[in-house]
Amino acid sequence: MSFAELASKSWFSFLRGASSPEDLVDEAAELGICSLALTDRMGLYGIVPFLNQCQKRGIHGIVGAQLIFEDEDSILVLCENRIGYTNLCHLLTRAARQSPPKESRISVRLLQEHIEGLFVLLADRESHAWGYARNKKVLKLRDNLNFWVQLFGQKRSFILYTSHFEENENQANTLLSQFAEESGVLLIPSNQPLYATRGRAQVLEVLACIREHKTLEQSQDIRPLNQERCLKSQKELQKILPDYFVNAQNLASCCQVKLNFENVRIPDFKTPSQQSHDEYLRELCLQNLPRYYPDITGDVIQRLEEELLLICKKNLSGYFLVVWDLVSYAKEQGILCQGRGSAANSMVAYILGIMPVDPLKYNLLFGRFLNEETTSAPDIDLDFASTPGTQRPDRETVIQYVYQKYGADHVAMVSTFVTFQARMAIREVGKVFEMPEEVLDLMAKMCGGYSFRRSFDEIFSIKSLKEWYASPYWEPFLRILHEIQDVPRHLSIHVGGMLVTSRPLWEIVPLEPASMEKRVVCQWDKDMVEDAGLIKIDILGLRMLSVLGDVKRMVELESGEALDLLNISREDPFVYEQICEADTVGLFQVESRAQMQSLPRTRPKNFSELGIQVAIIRPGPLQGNMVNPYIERKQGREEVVYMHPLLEPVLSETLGVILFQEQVLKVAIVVANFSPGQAERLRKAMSRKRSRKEMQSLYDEFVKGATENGLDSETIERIFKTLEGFALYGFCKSHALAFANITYLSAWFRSYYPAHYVAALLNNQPMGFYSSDVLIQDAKGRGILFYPPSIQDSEVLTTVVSPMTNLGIRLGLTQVEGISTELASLIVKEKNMGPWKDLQNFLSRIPMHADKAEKLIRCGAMDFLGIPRRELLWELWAWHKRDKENPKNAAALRQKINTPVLKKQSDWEMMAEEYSVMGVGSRHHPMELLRKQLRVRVMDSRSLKTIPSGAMAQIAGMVITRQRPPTAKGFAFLTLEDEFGMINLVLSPLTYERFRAEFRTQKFLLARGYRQYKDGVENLKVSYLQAIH
Amino acid sequence: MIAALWIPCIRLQAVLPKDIRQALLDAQNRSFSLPDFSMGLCTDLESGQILEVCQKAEAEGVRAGMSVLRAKIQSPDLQLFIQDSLVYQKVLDEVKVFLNACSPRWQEVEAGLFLLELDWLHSGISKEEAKKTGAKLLQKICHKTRLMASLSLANKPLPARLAALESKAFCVTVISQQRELQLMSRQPVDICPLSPKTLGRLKVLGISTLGDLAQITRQDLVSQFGMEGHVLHQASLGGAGIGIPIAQDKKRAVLRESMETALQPRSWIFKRLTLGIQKLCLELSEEGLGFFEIEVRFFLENQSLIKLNLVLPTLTRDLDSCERLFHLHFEKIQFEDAIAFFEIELLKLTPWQFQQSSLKNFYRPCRNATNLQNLFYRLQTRGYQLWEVISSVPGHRIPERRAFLRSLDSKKNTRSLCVPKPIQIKEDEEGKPLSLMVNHRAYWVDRVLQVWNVCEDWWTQCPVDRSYYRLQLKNGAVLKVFRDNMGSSWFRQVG
Repeated sequence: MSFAELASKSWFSFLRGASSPEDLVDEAAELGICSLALTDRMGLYGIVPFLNQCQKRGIHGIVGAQLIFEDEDSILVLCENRIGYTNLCHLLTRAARQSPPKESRISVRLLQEHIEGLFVLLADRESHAWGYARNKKVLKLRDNLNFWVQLFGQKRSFILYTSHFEENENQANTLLSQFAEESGVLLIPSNQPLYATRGRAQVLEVLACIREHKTLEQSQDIRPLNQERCLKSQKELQKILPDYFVNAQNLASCCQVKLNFENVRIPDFKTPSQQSHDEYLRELCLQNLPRYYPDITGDVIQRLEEELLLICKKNLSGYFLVVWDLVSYAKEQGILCQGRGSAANSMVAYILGIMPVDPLKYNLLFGRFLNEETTSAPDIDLDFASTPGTQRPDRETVIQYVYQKYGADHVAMVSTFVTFQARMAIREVGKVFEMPEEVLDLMAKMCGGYSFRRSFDEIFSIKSLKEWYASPYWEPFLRILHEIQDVPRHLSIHVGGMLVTSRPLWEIVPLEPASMEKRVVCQWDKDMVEDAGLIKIDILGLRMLSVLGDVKRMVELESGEALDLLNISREDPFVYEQICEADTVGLFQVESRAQMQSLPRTRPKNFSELGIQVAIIRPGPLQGNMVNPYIERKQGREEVVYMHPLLEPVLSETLGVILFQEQVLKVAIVVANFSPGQAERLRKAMSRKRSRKEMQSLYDEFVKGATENGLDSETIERIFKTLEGFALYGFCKSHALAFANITYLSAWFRSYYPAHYVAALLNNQPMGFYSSDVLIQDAKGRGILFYPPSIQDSEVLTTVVSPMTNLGIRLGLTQVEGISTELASLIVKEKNMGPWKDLQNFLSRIPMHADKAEKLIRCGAMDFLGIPRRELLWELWAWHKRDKENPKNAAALRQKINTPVLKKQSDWEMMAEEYSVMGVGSRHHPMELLRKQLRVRVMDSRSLKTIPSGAMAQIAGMVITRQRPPTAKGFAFLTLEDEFGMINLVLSPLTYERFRAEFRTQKFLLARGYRQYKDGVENLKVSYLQAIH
Repeated sequence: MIAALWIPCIRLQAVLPKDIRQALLDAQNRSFSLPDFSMGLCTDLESGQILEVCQKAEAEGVRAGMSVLRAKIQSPDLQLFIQDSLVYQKVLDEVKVFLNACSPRWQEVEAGLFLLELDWLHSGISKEEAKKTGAKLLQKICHKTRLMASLSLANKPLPARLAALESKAFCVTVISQQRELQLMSRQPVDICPLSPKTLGRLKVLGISTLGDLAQITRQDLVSQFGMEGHVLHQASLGGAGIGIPIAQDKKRAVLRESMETALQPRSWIFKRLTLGIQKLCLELSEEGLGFFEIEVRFFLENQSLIKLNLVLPTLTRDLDSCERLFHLHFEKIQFEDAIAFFEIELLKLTPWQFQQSSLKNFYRPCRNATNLQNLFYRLQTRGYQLWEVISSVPGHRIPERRAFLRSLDSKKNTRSLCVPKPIQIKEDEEGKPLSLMVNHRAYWVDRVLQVWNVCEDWWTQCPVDRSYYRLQLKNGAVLKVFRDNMGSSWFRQVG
C-alpha cells in the first residue's frame, strides 16, 4: 500500500527543520512513501529543488506551506491546483508586505481573499488546536477547529493525527478523533517530520537553541523531547497510528500542481514602432553594425545571422532588448558598465554595446553561450559602477530604473541563503554548547574562512586548545559542526540577480521586502530560479568601474576634452611593460600576490595574453596543473607540442595547453565533428560528473567522430583524457577577456594619469586587494606626494593637487572615519567663506558632534593652526562641555579656554592616531619608527634585493596580506611592507605550523630566512617568524 | 596620620586550591562570581558552612558578577560572615584592642580582606606614638596569626597603602612627604574610579599617571571632567576614595648568564634557568615567596632573540611545582641555534596583579553544570581531581534531576530525590513489559497505559535515552518504568 506523508518541513523553515528537501525526498523514496508534501514555514523557499527531486525519484511532490497568523495560530495548507498555488504565493507576498520584517504573519481576512484552491491540515504541533488538546481545553479546541472547518469547508478540511511518543499525547489525540467523528472531518495520519532521519535530530535541537538564543542546558522547553520527528514508513506508523492512511492517499491524489513559467519569463518590452521583439532586435543590430565593424565582411554577416536566428528560435530577443535597454540607460546617465561571463561570446551582445570584446577578433564561440541544445535559461551578467553612500548615479540608479519601468509587481531581486559555514558555525554552535568565548574566538580566527574540512584541520593543530580536545564536550560539538554545514540560516539578497517577468511575480513565487530599502526579494535563489526556467539579469556593482569613471571625469575636466574609452588602443606596449614588471598594485585582477608572482614569468604583451593572465591565476587552473605548462612554454623552457595537427589552430594562442572552456568545445568540434550543442553537453558532463551513462554515450560519439577524421585510437584516448582533466578547471575565455578589458583600462590610466588614478582609487575604497595605506605607499614610490586631510585645504574627496609642478594628492575630508559627504561638503562650503581662525571659530561655524571634530584633530586636519593636537582636544572637549552647560550662549562660548601644557605626542603616537581614524599614516611609515626600536639587525626591502639568491636574511615589516590558498598544498604566503617597499614571504607547511599564531594574528613581524630569486620573482623563504610589536 | 596594615595573603593563598575545589562543588548552580567570592570564603571554612552562606546570600540577592563589596552590601549576613572569618577576626580583635588602648576614638576607613586602613587622624595620635603602637600591634598580630604583616604610616591613605605593600615584614615604616610624592606619581590613572569615557580621554591626552595629573590645576581638571575632575585632583594628592591599587611599581631583578660552552644540552640550560629564577625570587622576596612575572630572553648565536613569558606563584618553599610548570613551557621552545647568553627578568607582583594575570583565566563564573564541568576539566589538567556534576533544574525531563543536587562523592552528605531503582522486567517480542519482579514477587502487566521516549543530555558524558511506560498491573496498581536504551536495563521511576 502506498503512503502519503503530507506535513514535512525542510531546513527552509529556517532553524525549524534539519534536512534539505532533497534529503527528505530521498529518504521518502527509501521508505516507500509515494507522495510527499513540503510545508515549510511561511514560504515556498525549497519548493523547486523539492519538486525536481521528487520527479527524479518518482515521488508525487505536493506544494504546501505552514501559515502563521497574527495570534500565532498555525495551519498547514496544500495546493490543489495552479489557482491554489497562485493564491498561496500571493497570500504569502501580501502577508510579508503587511508585517514587520522577518515576522511575516497572516490575517484571516487576507486568507479569505486567497482561499480558493487550498486544502487545510489542522492541529499541527505549533497550532493552538494541538495546545488546547494537550491541555484538555475541550471547548476552546472545538471552537478553534470549528472556525477553520467553517472557513475552508468540511470537505477541504483535515485533521492531523500524529504520535511522537510524548507523555500525555494519547488523550490529546483522542480529543481530536472525537471532534473528527462528530464533525465529519477526515483524519490524516502523519509524523509531521522535521528531518529525514533520526541522525539529524540533534542538529534540529541545536538549531532550536540558536533560534531562541539559548544554550542546550537552558532550552528544555523548546527542544523536542525525543528523536521521533523523522520521516517514517507506513509500516512503522501503522504500529502507532490508527488506519486512516487512505485519507492521506486520497487527499494527495487531489493535489496536482505543475510549475511551468515558460510563457512569462521574458518581461513585456515595448518596441518603439510596435514591431515584434525579433524585428526590433535585428533593426538595432544592423543599425549599430558599422560602428563596431567598419569593414563588414562575409564572416561578420554570417555570424550575425547565425546568432539572430538562434536567438529568435529560442524566443530570447525580448531578453536581449531588455538588457540593451538597461545598458543604454546607464550610458545616458554617465554610469560606466559592461557585461561579463559567457554572453561575451555573442556578437549581438557586442554590437548592442553590452559586451566590450569583439568575439570575431578574439575567436570566441557563440555555442558556449547559446546553442540549439541549450535547455536552461541563459544568463547575462552586467557590471555597473557602484558608489554606495554617495549621491552619484550608479548601479542603484539602474535598479530603480528597472522597478520604475516594469513595475514593482514585475520585478524582484533573487535571494541567496546564508548558510552555516566554518566561522559562523563555530561561534553559534559554540555558544549553544557554552564553550568559552576565548576558545571560540581563537578557533574562528584560526580557521581562516576555509571549507569546513580544512577548517577542522586548522583547528586541530592549535596547540593551546589541545586540552579541550579531550574534553567530553568536544566530540558532540565537532560532530554538530560537521552536520550543520550548509544548513540555511536566513535569507539574504543576491548581489545583483533580478527577476523581471511579464506576469506579476507574486503569481510565480512569493516575494518579501528585503532589509535594504526599496527592494523586494523573491524566495528563490539563483539556482532555483534557473531550475524553474526563469531568466534573471545580474545587475552587479563593480567599484573599479566607478574608479575608471572618476578618473575619466577628472581627466576630461582638466583637459576639456571628452575621452572615448572604446578608442583607446588595447595594445600599448608602455602599459604592458609595467604589467610585466609586476608593478600592478591597484590594478584590476592583476594586483594579488599570486598575480604579481606570475607576471614576470608569463609577461603578457598583448590583449589576448592579458586575458590568459586573468584566467590562469585562479584556483581551478592552478589545481588542474594548467598554469605551469603554459608558463614553461612561454619561457621557452618547454617545447610547444600538439597531440594532433587539428588541435593547432585551436590551441596555438595558449601554446598547446587547454586553458579555456571554449577550447574544450572547439577541440570536440574540430576533432570529433561535434555540434556546438553537443560539445557544450560534453563540457558540462565532464565538469559536473553527470551520470556515467551520459558520459559513456558522449565518449562513444567522440570516438566515432574522431575516427572518421582519421585519428588513431591512442590519440583519441589521449585527447579525451586531456579534455576530461581540463574541463573541470577551465575558465570561460569571454569572461576573462571582458575582465581583461577593465584590467587594461586601469593599467592605462595608471600609466598616464597616475595621480588621478590613485585619487580615484582612494575615493572608492574599500575595494581591491590592498588597503588605502598600501596604495598610498605604492604611489609615494612613484614620486607622488601626499598631503594629509586639512579642514583648510582639503576638498570633500581626495583630489589631485599640483604645488610647485610636483604631482601631489590631497586626502579628502571623507577619508577621515565618520566624516560623511554631507558634513565634508559643509566644511568645504564654509571654508570658502573665510579661513578658520582657531578651533573655537571652526566649532562655532560648523555644528558637529564632538567625536567627529575629535577625529579631525587626531588625524592632523587642524595641524595648520599650529597648536599641538592634545591641547586642541582639551580645548574641544572643554568647549563642548561649555556648550552643553550653556546652550546657545554665544558669549560663554567665545571665552578663551585655558589649556594646560600636556605631554608632547611622540611620532609613533601621532602615527597610531592617524591610522586609527584614517587607516593611513600621513607622515611616517610604521616601520620607519619601529626599526629604531628593534634590538636585532634587520634588512629593509631595498637592501634585500642586493644580496644573492640563497643568502640568509632577516627582515621586518608590517603585514599587508596573508594567504594560505587551498591550492597551495599547505604553503602559506605573507606580504610585508616597510618604508621602502614590499617583501613576499613563503612559509612551508612545517614552518606555518610552528608559527601559525604569529602568522594569523600579528601585525608587525620579524622574519628570517633565505632569499629566493628566480625568473624576476623575489621571495624570502621563511625559517623563523616573530612578532615585534 | 593614616596607618595601613598590610597582611600579605601568601599563606592564605596556599590553601586555596583545595578549598576552591570544595567551594566550587558546593557553590555549583549558585549564581556567584566565584573569583571574588571564593577569595572571601575559602579561607578556613568547612564546606557545609560555605553552602549555608551561599544559600543565605542568594536569598538576599547576591548574584553572579557582583564584587565582594556589593555582595556585602546586598547581604548583611555575608558581611558578617566575612568578618567572622577566623583570621580576619583575629586581626580585627588585635587591632581593636590596641587602638582602644591608644585612644577611645578610631575609625575603620576601609576594611579589605587583607588590607586594613586605620585613620588615626582623628585620634590625635602623634607620629612617634603611632610608630610605637604600630610596632606592638604588628608583634601581636604576627604572634597570634603567624602571618607576616607590615605597617606603614603616611599622611594620606593612598601613599600609606602603597608603601605598606612594599614594606618589609614586621616593620613599621613612616613615609616622608617626598617619598609620598614618589609613590603617588608612578600610579596609573586607572586606579581611580572613572568612567570609560574619561579614561579614554586621559589616554588620548597622554595623561597616564597620577604624576601627569599633578601638573594640571584642579580648576582645569574640573572644567574638563566635571565631578571626575575632583576625583582626579584628589587622587593626584593621594586622597581617599581610591580603590585598592591594581598596579604598582613592580620590583624587578635581572640576571644575565653566558653559556660557558656552546650547544649545552637542554637539561643543563633548564637547570641554569631554574637556579637563576630561584636566586632572583630570593632577591625580591623574603623566603622567595610571592607572585612573579618572569621573562626569559634567549639570545642566540645567529643574532635572533627568543622570549619566554610566564607568571609563577611560589606559594611554598618547595619550588617543585613551580619547576614543573616552568618545564612545561620551556619544553615548547625550539632553539634554532646555540644560545649565546640568556637573561632572566623577574617582576614581583601583588596578589591582585597575579589574580588579574593568570587566575582570571583559571576561573570563570559557573552558572551551570556544563560550564562547571568544563572548568573542572581544566582543573584536572592542572592536577586536580575531577568531580562529576549533575545539574538540578526544576521541571527537568529527567525526574531525578528535578531533585536536589548531588555529588558522586560518597563522603559528602548530600541527597537526591527520585533516584530510579533497577527492576527486573520480562518483555514481549515487541519489547513491551509483560511482567515485573519487585521484592522477589512477580507482578503481571494488565495493560500499557502510555509510552513515551526521552532523549536528553546527548552532549554530556551522561546521555539519556529512555523509553517510559506507564503500566497498569493486574492488581490495579499503576506504576512508571523505563528502559534505559543505552544499556537495555529496566528501572522503576520514583517521583
